[in-house]
Amino acid sequence: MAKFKEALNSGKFVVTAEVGPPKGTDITETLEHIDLIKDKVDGINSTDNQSSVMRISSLATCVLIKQRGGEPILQMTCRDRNRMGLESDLLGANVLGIDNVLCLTGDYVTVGDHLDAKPVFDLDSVQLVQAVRMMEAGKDLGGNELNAPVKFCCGAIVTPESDPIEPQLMKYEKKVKAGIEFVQTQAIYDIENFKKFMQYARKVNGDVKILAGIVLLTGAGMAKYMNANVPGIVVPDALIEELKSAEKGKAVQKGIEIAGRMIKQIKDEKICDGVHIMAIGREGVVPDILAAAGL
Amino acid sequence: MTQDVETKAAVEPQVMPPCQARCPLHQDIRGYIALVAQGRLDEAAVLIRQDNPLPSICGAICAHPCEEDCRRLTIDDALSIRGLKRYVMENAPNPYAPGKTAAPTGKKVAIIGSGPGGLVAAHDLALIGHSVTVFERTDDFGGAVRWGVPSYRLPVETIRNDVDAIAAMGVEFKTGMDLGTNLTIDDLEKEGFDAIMLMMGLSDSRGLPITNNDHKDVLMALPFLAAARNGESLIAKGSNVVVIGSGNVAMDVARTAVRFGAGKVKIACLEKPHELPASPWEVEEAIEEGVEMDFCGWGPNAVVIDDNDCIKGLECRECCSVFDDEGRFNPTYNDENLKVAEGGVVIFSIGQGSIINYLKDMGIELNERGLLPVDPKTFMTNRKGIFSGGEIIKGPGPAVAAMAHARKAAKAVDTYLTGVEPPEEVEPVAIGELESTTREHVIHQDRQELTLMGVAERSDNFNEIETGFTPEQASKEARRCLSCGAGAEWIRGKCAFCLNCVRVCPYGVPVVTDGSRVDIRFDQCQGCGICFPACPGDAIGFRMLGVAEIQPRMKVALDEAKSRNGSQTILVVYCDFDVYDVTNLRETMKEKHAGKALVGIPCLAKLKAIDLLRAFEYGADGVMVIGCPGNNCAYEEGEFWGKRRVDEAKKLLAEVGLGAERLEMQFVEGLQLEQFDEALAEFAEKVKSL
Amino acid sequence: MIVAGKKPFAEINEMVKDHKKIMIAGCGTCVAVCMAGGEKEVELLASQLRLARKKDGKEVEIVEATVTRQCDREYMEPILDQARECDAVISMACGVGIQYLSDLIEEIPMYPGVNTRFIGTNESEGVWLERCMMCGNCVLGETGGICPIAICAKGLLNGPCGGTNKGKCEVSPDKDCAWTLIYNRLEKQGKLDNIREIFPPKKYSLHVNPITQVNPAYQHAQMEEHHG
Repeated sequence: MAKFKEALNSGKFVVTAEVGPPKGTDITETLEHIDLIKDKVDGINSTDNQSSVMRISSLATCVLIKQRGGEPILQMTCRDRNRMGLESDLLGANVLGIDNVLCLTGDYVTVGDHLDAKPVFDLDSVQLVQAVRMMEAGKDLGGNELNAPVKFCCGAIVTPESDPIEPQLMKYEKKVKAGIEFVQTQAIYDIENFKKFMQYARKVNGDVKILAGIVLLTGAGMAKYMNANVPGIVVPDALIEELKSAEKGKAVQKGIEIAGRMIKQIKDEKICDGVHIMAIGREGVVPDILAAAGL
Repeated sequence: MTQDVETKAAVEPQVMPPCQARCPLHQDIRGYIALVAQGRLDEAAVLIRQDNPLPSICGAICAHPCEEDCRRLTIDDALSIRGLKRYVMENAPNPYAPGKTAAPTGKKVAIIGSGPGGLVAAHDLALIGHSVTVFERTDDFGGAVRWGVPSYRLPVETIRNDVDAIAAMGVEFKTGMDLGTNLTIDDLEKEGFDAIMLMMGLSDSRGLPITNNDHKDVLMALPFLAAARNGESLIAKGSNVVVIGSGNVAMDVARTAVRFGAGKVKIACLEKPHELPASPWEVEEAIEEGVEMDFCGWGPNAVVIDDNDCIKGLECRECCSVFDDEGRFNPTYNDENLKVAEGGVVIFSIGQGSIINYLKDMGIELNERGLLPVDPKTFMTNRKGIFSGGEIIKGPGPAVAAMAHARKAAKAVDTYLTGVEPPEEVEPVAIGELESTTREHVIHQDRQELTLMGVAERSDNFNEIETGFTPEQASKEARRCLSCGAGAEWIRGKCAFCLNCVRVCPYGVPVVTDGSRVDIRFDQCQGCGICFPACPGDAIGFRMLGVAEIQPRMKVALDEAKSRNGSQTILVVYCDFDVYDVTNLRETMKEKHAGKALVGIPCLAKLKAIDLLRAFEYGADGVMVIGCPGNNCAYEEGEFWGKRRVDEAKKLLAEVGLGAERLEMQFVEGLQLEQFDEALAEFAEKVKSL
Repeated sequence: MIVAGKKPFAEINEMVKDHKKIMIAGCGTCVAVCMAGGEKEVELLASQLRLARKKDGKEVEIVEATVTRQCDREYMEPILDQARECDAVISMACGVGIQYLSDLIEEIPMYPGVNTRFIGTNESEGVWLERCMMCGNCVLGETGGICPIAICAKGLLNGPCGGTNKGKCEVSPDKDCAWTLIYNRLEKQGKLDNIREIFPPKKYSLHVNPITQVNPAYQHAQMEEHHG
């Protein structure tokens, strides 16, 4: 069994983190980040042209993670490849030793840096999960036999603060039905709200492991920006005040403190099965967050 | 199938605005009012004279039944149609521009009598090429309106204007020719007249068979009024006068007596004050001038004479009812209740008749009641070639009714002379009423009233008491017209059924009917024109004058301006409804801005972007559009849509690379040059620099 | 209805710059309704072209002709001879009409005067909204009469993405989130079960363009038989 799946099954508090591949062929910093966290987390996600900004492919980055001794989680969006492209990359990933896949819809093309690119969305995230499961059963989406099946630990995402929440939960249930094993949530900041979501999620399917999304806040400005512009993210006023109270130049420190505190609370209160840390652009501080959480 | 063909009406009745349908002459009122609103007075005069040969007379005294049916009455008040007609005739630069008469037919027509009926017949027959001579027994023309209407209501000069215009068509006028005295039918036939029309009207006042009715101080209305026209008073100053009668003539008599310095003037008549058949404004003005109405509702019984053979007064009995249950004139009295209207003079003003017994000697049969019968279709008497029409045939009524009757008679005469049957005519019908849903969107605008001289100023002389509209009043009044039926016209073949008209109309006039048909209900349309440029298929036409021909008018104006000043041409497009005195605007523009052309459109909502582009194609270097400020628009949302069209054209110009700055919009109320003179000069400078 | 938008004038002007006698052919149906290529727009474009040429001191003759529909041969026949006398034709019809007119006068260069956008409805005066992507495999029966292919920017079949935001789409606050609309409508209808099952991926084999659609009553075999 793959390392990440083992961690999920072990009953311990699971921690994953993400790295964002660079735009260009200089991977020095990416490798530094991987090296910094590979032994401290149970899995490292590699984003897939995150925010529709073109970068090194998620698959290639996962191979780098693997080469450095980390446990890669391949993020796959439906934006850039049709079902054939997605399936062949799944085959390729599997033979390169990548055992984990996170299925996402992907941001729309026009929010990124290639406005005129053709948006694909041949499959949606639910159907991609189904494709993974079909290929594990030895068949592709065309109904054709594979000479040998794939094997993945397959996950998806959910946005617990989505507004309205009902359609989001309905889709979540479809993901569960399609056979996901784990979920990495969109950033959460309001633990009480998150607890309500967890009550619901446990009812839908207790076997699916849920890792709460922790996005590092780097200042009050960023928090306000996310409230205004990022769907499904709600930073409570209290946290914004806390960030404001930080000494000049110490806001990131404050953010690390908040992230650490939240992780600790989730772990101590066993609210969910683990956390997924997204330190967007500041992957280097992930160990500090873990330290702050007492991990 | 045959039955279908047979039952089908031969001629569909024409659907007209209510004013036009009601007018006995069916004048194109809506049309000339639109032209007044646009300041196109010469054209308005042409349109008025097309249907009415006595426009100045009617402008002064017409009883205007048209106003009674005006649809604006259901909103605020009727249009002052007579006032606008009067305005045109008084203010058009060239109100009597000669029209075209047909080639001479070689036929001669004699018309006996120059009253409104005779004048209309003379005009109509001359217009189609007949040689017409009018024979008048008095020394001036106009008949009932010349001798039976007082000067304070209708100055002689006003009559003369209309008569002169008819004379200018080649009609010969002769005075002092009195049929039965110094003129006979045989004489006329000998002179070679092919047809003779007896248009003498009702020139004889009637009296009543009451005691002492032959007293020398018992007068008749028409001789009294005729003498007044000559400046002669038949009553002694200070004498109290009792006028018997309740119609407009009775009011004229009473008011004339007031002007001659009578003491008390009383009206005695069967009808109660509020039931008088006279026009309400006549009654009101008479009361203002001191005429007393306390004997309204009293029937004359006897003229009471004192010992000195002077009239003491008129004994009256109470009138209980005027009409019987079936609506027939059948007065009942309370003979117990008598009272005397005191006065030294009694004037009968109860109606007119004619004395035509002499016709019998000319081979013309009268009926047993002494009236002149004519064939209802040919208008011919029993004597071949001798016709009659007007009040002598149809009986008393307003002048305009006599004119309409005379017109029919004249047509019959033409048929007799040429043998050409006119197309069958069916009485027109008025378009339907305004629905409440339409009415609630019509903006209320007060009626402009003609100015009346003050009582003190008017009661002792025969100066005309009414003053015509000022340009501002006329403009404000004309734009109140609802343009009934002259709005949008749906062109089915071009309609793409997009329903844009349905969506933009503020009045809810275009509707989808039967779930599949579009109907722009012409009888509800207010003519705002918002739908007109909004139609992407050009499937909406516009009936209102001045809309369809906006582009040719722009071209003419631009060519003219260019010929005056070749260096730079600016077109000013303004809202017609925004200008109170367009003549003044035009003049001042010409003086100060020789190179600038001026074109109006009745509400900018009717302006299309293509109109503005065309102006540039026609050579405009810049176009300034001037609209009413929002609260001044005659329609809902008009200026809003006008601005959108200008913005659309600006974008198109910018695309072409000509520069959106060449098109500018301003909002000015009651447009006169001084209000935008500076802005226009600035704009011209800006355009020059582009 | 097919919805088109006017092409920028500069683009049209550049395309036809070498032609001296140009027909502008309008279409009186869909593009007239959406105010892109009906008689009124033909008039405006003609005027713009004349003004632009005049500005550059160049001659141009414009022939304006609007037909009921450019997607039917019979409606176009009356203008074909006139078109053949021109150096070029600008068709203001949708992409369909432009091609069809060009087929009928192959020798005359043809230029589009509009960009054909989508099929949709008139939401309010001058505003149209795309409503159908012509996928050939309609799911509206399941989705409460709201199309997840056309109304959702991503064409998602199984629910909203994470970008859904208070009923609006992550792409633009002007766009509604299709899945919020669908969910609300089905909830109103008591039919939420419609969308609890997973929709399989779309069958794009049903849309191999250009598609031909034949009414069963007009199958080739039968028609050939009829015409001998």
